[in-house]
Amino acid sequence: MTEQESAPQKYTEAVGGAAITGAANDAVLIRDLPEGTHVRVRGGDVVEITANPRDGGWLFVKVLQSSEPSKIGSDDMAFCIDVIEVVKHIDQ
Amino acid sequence: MASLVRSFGDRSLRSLVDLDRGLVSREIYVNEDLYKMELEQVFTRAWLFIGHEAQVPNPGDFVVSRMGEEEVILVRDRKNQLHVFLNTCRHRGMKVCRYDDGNTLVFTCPFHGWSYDTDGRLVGVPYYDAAYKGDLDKSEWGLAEVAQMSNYYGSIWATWDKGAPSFEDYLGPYADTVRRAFQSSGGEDNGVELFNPVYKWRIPCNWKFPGFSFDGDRAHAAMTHRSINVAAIGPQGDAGGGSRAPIRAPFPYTDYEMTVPELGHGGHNAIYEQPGLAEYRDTWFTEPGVDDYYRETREKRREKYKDQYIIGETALIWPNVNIQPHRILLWHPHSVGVTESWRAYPIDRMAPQHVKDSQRRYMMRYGGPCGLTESDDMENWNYASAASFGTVAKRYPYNFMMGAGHAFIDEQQAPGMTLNYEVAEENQRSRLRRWLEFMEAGSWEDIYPVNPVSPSAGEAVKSKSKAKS
Repeated sequence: MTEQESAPQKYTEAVGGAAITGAANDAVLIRDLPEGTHVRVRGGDVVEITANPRDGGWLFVKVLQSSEPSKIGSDDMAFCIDVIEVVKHIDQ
Repeated sequence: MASLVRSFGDRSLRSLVDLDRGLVSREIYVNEDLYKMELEQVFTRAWLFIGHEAQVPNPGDFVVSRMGEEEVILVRDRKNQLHVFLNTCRHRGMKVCRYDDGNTLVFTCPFHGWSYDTDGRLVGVPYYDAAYKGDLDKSEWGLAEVAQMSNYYGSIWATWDKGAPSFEDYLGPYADTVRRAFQSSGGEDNGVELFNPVYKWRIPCNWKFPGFSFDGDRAHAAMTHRSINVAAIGPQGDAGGGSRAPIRAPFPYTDYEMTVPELGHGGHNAIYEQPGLAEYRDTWFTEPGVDDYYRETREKRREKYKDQYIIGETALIWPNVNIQPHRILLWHPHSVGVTESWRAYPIDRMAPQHVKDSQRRYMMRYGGPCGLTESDDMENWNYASAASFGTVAKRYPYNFMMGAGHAFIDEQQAPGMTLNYEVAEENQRSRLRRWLEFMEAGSWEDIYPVNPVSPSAGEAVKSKSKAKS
């Protein structure tokens, strides 16, 4: 295997690692997201922020949409790197 | 560890603290091994002052305090319950709180992100499902919480030892003194708040220099405080001789060194010769309007205590805190030769702002790191400590003989207390005695109910009874 051939695979691993460690520069910054904001988390669930401790690490959330119906309406916590998209903004 | 130190060189602990002769080896103030033993034998075992509930009035409020060398967090959880937690993440030990005080929903460790609710539960673990795969039981990994906590009329105390007696039992005859110290000047229980922030600074001496001598060393005042005694820093300025203490109305009393040797607490305390309290005497001549407030509250307090004999307004509560109505003085061990000194200043919660400001200004010029009185004290504690570390210096014991053999009890006027002349070293010997008991004890069972004091030649206690007038 030549170096050229292995390059795409290395690139893929790097991107995957960034996703796990939150190192991507397009990561959602959660620290100042206001309560009421809806975000999508890893796995596809959509949750509403019920409280934000503003530590940049965690959000208190309520599950709004999920592939598992039993989770809908439940309270949970979301870690920063698991927040992949803001789906509904709230004006502060 | 205890066995190691008990055979300290060819000397036992008891040979270092010879209360029979009033001789105490400097080793107990300068020796690193003994210091480490103190952290375990004394500071994980004794009830320690943490703070005041007024520092955390709302859910999520927290303030960082200390127990021995270690940081703890006093926090009010979302259900309004108070907790005291060790400030360290259970994952890799990082401080989960790096602020002096504030309000939070969770304590999130900045290292790997473990997150704890304000009731101490571990509620957030990154990669919990993907990496731990169900192997981590979060309920077993909450913040370390003290074994016992007591909210004593608003003051918060804690111990790491579940075998310790209740806090009120720990206080013994000084329970009422501590209770009254946290009353408003009008006598309302839990009637104070603390000025924020608490003063914190480090001084180069062993914690026992201030801790064992404060409120137990009246002999130092005439010499050490000669300058401040004539500097007129009291609220009355230079009126009435310019004392650093407020002017007080005359009232028949006798001052004593007063202690509970079995518990280690004690203070310079007056026994009033008649029930009730003195009337108020104006003293705030430099702060207009303050006397009006204190005159009114004094009348309420006089009414409340008109039939009681009052004993003791201050006390050193073993091992390291002095409780006074307007000052709380804490000496945390930081290393064998360094003490972290804290000052908190209680003030009536309901006092008008101008009274609070006046009291704060008076306390700031009186004590604390920039206060004139404690600047005098620090000079002595710090240099006495430095001059005690030397190889030759350690050959010469400290002298704690003052008043030894002249203590007496008066069960009628001061139940449970041991008294001595107002200038003595009774309280310091009492603290040293308790220090020895804690250092030798295997558990609380060895030291409470209190061991019968075996009066030594220098500690003989006489009985003396005086009828109340």
